[in-house]
Amino acid sequence: MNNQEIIDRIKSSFCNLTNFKVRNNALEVITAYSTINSKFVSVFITFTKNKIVVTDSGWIDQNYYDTPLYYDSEFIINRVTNSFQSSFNVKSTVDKEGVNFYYKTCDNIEQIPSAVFDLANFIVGVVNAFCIQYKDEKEEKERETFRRDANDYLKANYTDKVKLRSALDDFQSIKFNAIINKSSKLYLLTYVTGSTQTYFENDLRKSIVNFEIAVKSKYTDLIKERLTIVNDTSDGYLPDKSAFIFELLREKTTREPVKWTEKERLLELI
Amino acid sequence: MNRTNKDIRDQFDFFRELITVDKIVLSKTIHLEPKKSNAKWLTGQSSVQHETINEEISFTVERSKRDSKYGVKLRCPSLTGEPFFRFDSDGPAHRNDFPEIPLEEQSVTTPHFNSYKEDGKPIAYKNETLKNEKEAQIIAEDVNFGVSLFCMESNTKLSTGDFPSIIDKAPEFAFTAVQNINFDNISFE
Repeated sequence: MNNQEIIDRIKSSFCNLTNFKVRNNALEVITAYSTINSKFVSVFITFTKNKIVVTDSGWIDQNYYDTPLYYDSEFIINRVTNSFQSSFNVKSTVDKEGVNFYYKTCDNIEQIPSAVFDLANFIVGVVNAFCIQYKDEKEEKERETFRRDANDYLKANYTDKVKLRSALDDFQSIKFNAIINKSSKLYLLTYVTGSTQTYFENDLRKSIVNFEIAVKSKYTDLIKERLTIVNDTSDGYLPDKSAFIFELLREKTTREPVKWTEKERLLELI
Repeated sequence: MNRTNKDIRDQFDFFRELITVDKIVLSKTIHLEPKKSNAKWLTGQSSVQHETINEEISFTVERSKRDSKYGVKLRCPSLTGEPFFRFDSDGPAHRNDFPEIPLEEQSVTTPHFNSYKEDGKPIAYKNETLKNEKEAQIIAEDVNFGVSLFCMESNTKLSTGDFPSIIDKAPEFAFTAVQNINFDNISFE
């Protein structure tokens, strides 16, 4: 193996990867940095008002990098953008049409390569942050389906006696999946599901805490049963592995957890 | 990030037929109107009649009001949600990330076409016209030239054999003029 040959090859490949487009208003540098959605990052060098400005030309804001749109990820993308902005010392400004430009300024030509390097790294980071789906789609879907099925089942059997996502008056922030008010007695219900053991156990822990607080309520004498419906068809249902947490749950509930496949048991309890 | 289009991979013969067999654009002229979802863009559409495929196919032209960037797309919703063939006049270079392509040849600058390989992976390329820098620039600056080139490349035309013409319904500026961002109007600290 000839090291020099490899070195030369890598150097020339990396170097030749950088392209340029001469535009009327700027020099576009098509950098050698690419994003996970297979775009090479471009930065634009322009001389305006006696300043050398290196900018993304509004390409991130206008989605020229063609990143997917995931709802509810704005918060995390803003965090990523802010962190990268401060790390690479990138500034931003808005033009009169409301388009955001990220940029760096240079005092002289010598500073341009470094600014191009920083801005390109910044763009790669931000565009990649847009490409990632932060929410676990499978988990969200399963959770939503189970919640809906359980709600429908309770509504079908207890009609207006059931209140969904409800709290006891004195602990408004502690929501139960359902509270059934039957013959002046309250039945508190939580749902436990999850596509993985971690998600499932998180639900178990939430149920434990909620029931722990419920017994401190001034309505505690009115509470007839504290019940948990567990989705035993979900992938995260691993009773042996989660035995310890199930044991803690049993201490806080009035009955054995009701398995979804045996949901008729609820009708005997309530 | 897995960018494989599984719909196209699984029905590649159908995809190939969509592209290679002749198609007729039904509207002689396509009027660009403000895009509802993005005020900075204009968009216009026509239905397409395929010689052998009866599925719904659409031909879309989109143009930015800010710069001269435009795109032309062919869609067949029953095959896949994404356009199955596209032209980008401007914007970032695409990376053809395939190990058999040397690194320095993996960057395909705009203007370029976007299509798919047999495994459903997107691929960008320039045809002979676009490989010529001068011609590529002329095409990038004029949406009607770009539409003609796109039609030739994708075997699409009008029933007369001509290509559709693109008309801006409410021109806010001289239509053929190249729009450029004026950096002097932006305040850089």
